[in-house]
Formats: sequence, C-alpha cells, structure tokens
Amino acid sequence: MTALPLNDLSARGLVVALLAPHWSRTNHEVGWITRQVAGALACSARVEVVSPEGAAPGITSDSVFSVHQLGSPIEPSAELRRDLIAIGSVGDSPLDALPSTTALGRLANRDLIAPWSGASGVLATLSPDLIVIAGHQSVGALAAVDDYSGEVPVVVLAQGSELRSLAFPPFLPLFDRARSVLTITQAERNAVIDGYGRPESVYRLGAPLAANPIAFSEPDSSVGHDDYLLVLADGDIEDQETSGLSQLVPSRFPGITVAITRPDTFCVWRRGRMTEHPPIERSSDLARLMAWARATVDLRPGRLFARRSIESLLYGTPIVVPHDSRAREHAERGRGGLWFANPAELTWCIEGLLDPAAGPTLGAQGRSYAEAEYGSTDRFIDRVLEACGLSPASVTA
Amino acid sequence: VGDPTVDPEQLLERLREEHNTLRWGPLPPGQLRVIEEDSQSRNRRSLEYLHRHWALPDKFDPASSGAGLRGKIIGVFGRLTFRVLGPYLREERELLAHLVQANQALEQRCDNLTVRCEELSQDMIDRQAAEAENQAKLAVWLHLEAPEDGGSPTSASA
Repeated sequence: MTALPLNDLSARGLVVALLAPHWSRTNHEVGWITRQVAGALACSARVEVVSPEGAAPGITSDSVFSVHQLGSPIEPSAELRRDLIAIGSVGDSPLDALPSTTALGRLANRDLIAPWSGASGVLATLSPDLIVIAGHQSVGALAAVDDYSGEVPVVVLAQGSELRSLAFPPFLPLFDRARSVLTITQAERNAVIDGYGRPESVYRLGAPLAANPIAFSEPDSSVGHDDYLLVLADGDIEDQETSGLSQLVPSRFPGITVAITRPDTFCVWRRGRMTEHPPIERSSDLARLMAWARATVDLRPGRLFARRSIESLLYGTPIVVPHDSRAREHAERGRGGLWFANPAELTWCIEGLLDPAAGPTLGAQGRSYAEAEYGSTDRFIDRVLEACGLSPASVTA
Repeated sequence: VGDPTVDPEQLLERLREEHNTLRWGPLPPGQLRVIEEDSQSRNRRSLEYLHRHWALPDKFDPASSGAGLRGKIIGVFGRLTFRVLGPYLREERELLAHLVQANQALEQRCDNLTVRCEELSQDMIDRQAAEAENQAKLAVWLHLEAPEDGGSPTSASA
C-alpha cells in the first residue's frame, strides 16, 4: 500500500472521514467491527464519522470520534429491499447474463441515495485526507464522495455478511473507486477477489479479540464442575430449526451435561432433566461458559466473522458450526473444530469432539489460530493502518 | 510421540464413513417381569398357620394327665408348673399375638408395595414406549434431512 500524499499536511494532522450508514448500532458484528476499524484509524488520524442517523443535522461527540449526523436516517425497509434484491439476483449464472442490471440497481438503491445528500457538504468542511466507506452496498455514500471530490483516496470496509451480495453488479462502483478494500475473514476476501480481482488491494483485517483470563477462575455455577457441552442457540431470532437442533443435542447425549443459551432462557440438561435459568446476558458469563466447556456448538454464528466462535477458540474450546456459516472458516482453516450439513452430522461432529484423542487437540489448534489471527489488538491496528496507507512507516516516508 | 495434529476434514470424513455402516432401530419397550406365584402362596400358607396356632395353652388340662396315682401326681405337678409359669406364658401369648398382627400388617404393606411396583413398572414401560415413538420420529426427521452434496449417508431405518 502506498502512503497517503502528505506533502500538504498542516499541523491539523491527518483527517479520516468514515462514512457509516449506521454508527450507533454496536450490538451486531457489523457495527462492532466498524467501531474497531475507526478506533484503529484514530491511532494515527483524527476520525470524523459521517452518518445519515439522527433526528436533525448536527455534530455529537462519541469517545474519540466526532459524529456528524445528517438527520436523514435510512429506512430499514429500503435496506431490506436492497439486500433481498442483491442476494436474489446473484445466483449461479454469470454476472453479465443478469437481465437489466441497471434497472435492478436503480430498484435496489431506491431511497438509499437521498439520505446521504448532506454528506458532501460535511466532507467539504472536513477536507479529509482519506475517506473510509463502511459497507460495500453504500452506493449513496459513494455518490456523496464523488459530489465532494474525485481525488480523495477512498477505502471500502466491505462488511460482506452475505457473500452473494458482494457480487451484485450495482455495487461494483464502490470497489472500482476504492484504493483498497478491507475485509475481515478469508472467505470474505476471497469473495471480493473472485468478483473484482485486484488481490493486492484487498486486505484481511481479522478482529481485535482476546480471551478473558478471569473466565478460567471458576466455572459457572449452573453447570458446576460437570463435563458439559455448550450450545449457542441465541441468535437475533430463534427459528424453529435452531430450536430443534438445540433440543437434539441433550436427547442424543444424555450422558453429558448440555447447557443451551436461548434468547429468553438458559437451560441446563442433566441426564434427561432440565433446569432453567435466566438468559445469559453478560459477555463475562458467556466467556466463563465457553472456557470450561468440552465443545461449543454455535448454531447461529455471527454472519460477518462469527465472533463467538473465535472467542470459543481463544479459550481453547473446539467448535461445531453449520457448514454454510462464516464460522466454518475458523473450524476448517483454523483446524479448531468440525462443521455439519444436517442434524445427523451435527451429532457425529459432537461425538468426534467428545473423543479425548481429537477434541483437546482441535481445541489447541483452534486456539493457536485464533490467537495468531484475531488475538492481538496491536496487530489489528497495524493491519488497518497498513491497509489504509497510514502505517507509521509509510507516514514517515 | 506421533503427530499431535488433527485434520478436521479427515476426521469428518472418518466420522461419515463410520456412521455409514451403522444401522439404527428403535428399542422395543421392555416386558413386565412376572412375579413368582409359588413363593407368594407359600408365604400366605405360613401366615395362615400363624393365625391358627399363635394361641398356645396357658393352663393345665387335667384330661391330659391320665388316671390313677400317676395321673394325680402329673396333675399336681402340671397345675403347679402352669401356676408358677402362668404370668410368663400369658406374656408370651400376648407377644405372639402382637407378632402375628405385625406379620399381618407387613403382609398388607408388602401387597401395597407390590401393587405400587407394578404401577411404576407400567409407568416406565409407557414412558419407554413414548420415548421409542419419539425416537422414531427423530429418526424419520434425520432421514429427511439428507445431505445436499450427496456425500454422506442418511440414517437407516432398516
């Protein structure tokens, strides 16, 4: 990555404008990683966040960031329509065979351009040295950037929770305009490269995660010192399939304690009998459960980078995950667990991990992988700065 | 020391192969174990004997001493013996009466427990039958969820 042109920098220092459709949503992986990237950038630059959120235009302060709210929030229904069109339009057929991509793009981006109309004025005020656009679907943000200037380098944080969406042709202008593209996982990076090439400009960042050593101090009182399986079935919405799969585990393995986290409850099965507890809400409680489990079965891994699966690996606990999830990368590439395509395979995978010859080894392998790729905040910051051309070496050059 | 690493891809393939050869079938419900009638009727005869014979003699029967001088001497000694041992024999009779009553109560309690045991066995069998039915449903469900890529086995009902 070439360094930013710094010849005309004054004492104000580097200014990075981060254009994010949503800034206040931090409970999902997309929102969380956006803040982490912004935080990494803040190590070398002043980060100004521009977002359509807010009831009225204004500037607020959030930690080390200044947030420029445009007061024209994006309607969730417009985003849902865009995502459905993007996912539904990209199948097995070649992209160029899609009928009327322009018309699809217009339909997909309806009501998503206008909320960004005030951003070009904010950018003119900020005069950023670098613009980071969060989301490969943020065509409206790109339009605002182009309105402001065609010269300022642009970096796109892909946020490809759905890989098929990355290949939707109307999103191509963002990748074309981007000097570099930031991805979190290898699968996401591969998808971007498959669609648009330029592997030298597509960076994999990982994420800054760490195991909390306190989690190893003592097990959660609900499971005590039992050998147990941890089943995570508490995604955004509890669907019937997840619920059925989570019930399958204690039925199939009555000889081992099974702890199941659900959105509304936390149940522990022992020899066919279930006790219910309040739902797990604190991350420290979940960490404790992960740290002492024989294996973590994550039925609904996070869709961007499967954060909980990585955390489980950081505690040395092997994982069992759906074969079509982002977590599979951690099980397969990190050699930290197994993946299943159907309920029968789920039970076989658990059998495999309960084998004392395989489970602990997979856990150790996964831990090494997670620590190397996700376990260091310093390395994450270095990767972000390097990908954005803000690394200390390039700045001093 | 061998290679300590585990390749998840190979492990998964091995698990698939292993389960490809397994066959599953629901467990049949267990049968009630029949209680042996012989020992029960023997116990009942013993209890009936106790009821008939618990009242031992507590006084001397002069008719049993016989006639003549020998009979008079036996009668005197007999009355004397029963007079001396009378309090003890009455106490013993009371004790035997209570023992028989206690045995009667124990028999009733055993009968109740036997009935309860049979009820519990039936409950367990009913539960087992329900579990078998539930397992059969599960097996069908697993069977329906065949792998999309066709590389793995489905659970067999045969």
